[in-house]
Amino acid sequence: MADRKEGAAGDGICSKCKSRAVMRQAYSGESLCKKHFMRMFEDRVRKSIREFSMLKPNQHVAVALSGGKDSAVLLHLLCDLKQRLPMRISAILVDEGISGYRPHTIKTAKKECEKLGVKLHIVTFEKEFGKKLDAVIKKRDGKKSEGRCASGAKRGACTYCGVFRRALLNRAARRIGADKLAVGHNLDDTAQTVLMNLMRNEPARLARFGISGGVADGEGLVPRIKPLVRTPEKEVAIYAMLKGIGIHFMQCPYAEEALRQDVRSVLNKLEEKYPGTKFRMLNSFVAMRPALMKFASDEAKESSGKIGACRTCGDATSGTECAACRLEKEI
Amino acid sequence: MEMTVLVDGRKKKFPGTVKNAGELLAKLGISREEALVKIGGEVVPETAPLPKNPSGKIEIIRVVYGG
Repeated sequence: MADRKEGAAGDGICSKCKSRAVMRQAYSGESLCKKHFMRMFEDRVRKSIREFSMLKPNQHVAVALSGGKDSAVLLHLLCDLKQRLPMRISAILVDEGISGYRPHTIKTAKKECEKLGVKLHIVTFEKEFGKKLDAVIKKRDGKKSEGRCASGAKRGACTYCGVFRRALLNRAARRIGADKLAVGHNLDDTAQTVLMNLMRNEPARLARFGISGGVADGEGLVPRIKPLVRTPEKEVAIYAMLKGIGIHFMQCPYAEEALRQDVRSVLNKLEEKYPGTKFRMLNSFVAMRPALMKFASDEAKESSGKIGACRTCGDATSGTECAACRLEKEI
Repeated sequence: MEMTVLVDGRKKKFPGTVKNAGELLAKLGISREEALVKIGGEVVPETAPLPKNPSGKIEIIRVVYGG
């Protein structure tokens, strides 16, 4: 069996049917043709949905759509799944106000939603927070004292964007009455988040990083689900290409500022050398999560950090004011 | 012998030949985890041998973060 796999891989032949392979999974030792790759990919997503009890029949699922590969593939997969598991699907797109980037992705997202008959809700930083991300960063770069962390370092664009996006997606999902908010986080994103939280010594934040829901569901937070959690980023791109899903391959101009890019690069090097690293990191995180959640819950009790309403906007927060409102004052 | 490939739509030439798509990526300093290779419009695994005189173009598409 092992010989067949090795030989097949070397020849670019499918390990299952001997057709021409389109990809090789170094972590499984298999090469797969288009048909077997698509089948494996879709089965794995459905299995993840079951494994983490992500969906129940007749729920309203809001997909956080950006026009990029992950969210576009997720939208297509959920629309296909709707035939087996009845659900209502909407899409929410956050326009952060990034010139030269976001307008292209909005166009792509609109096209995909039209194709699938999904209602798209667009929300903007400008309308909700009074400023586009470009303006926030311009202000940050122009001022000596503003937009800085306690250490004095400049806040990364992804800090503002991440906090505002999360708040806005939750608000929009609540507004449209969604039961679940589906996000396109893939295996790579998860492995990166685990490592980043360890590097920053933020175990409580790592505990709050849920795969299906979080520690504070039902307190004004729409539970998030991540059906692509067991899917490597590269396989998402291959699937999108083979299925003819319209996606853009542009990178956000602020991405280079983020620690995540460096972590991504390190993890990819490790994955090349030690295939399966990302899966093993995910499995370790899943196994440790109950202990992490207990730790986070004990820590919250100690600091009386019960989930309550933000004094400014009313959104759920563990403090008196949510992160989005705190950052909004800064800009 | 010189090879021409399209990297994210931009032509790139480099000397020598390579055995397969994986070697091509390594020569260009691109991680296998971060790129797809297409030959003649078809996605191929990194282990697939590269034809000596490919009839179609060889493309490398970088998988960008996000989306």
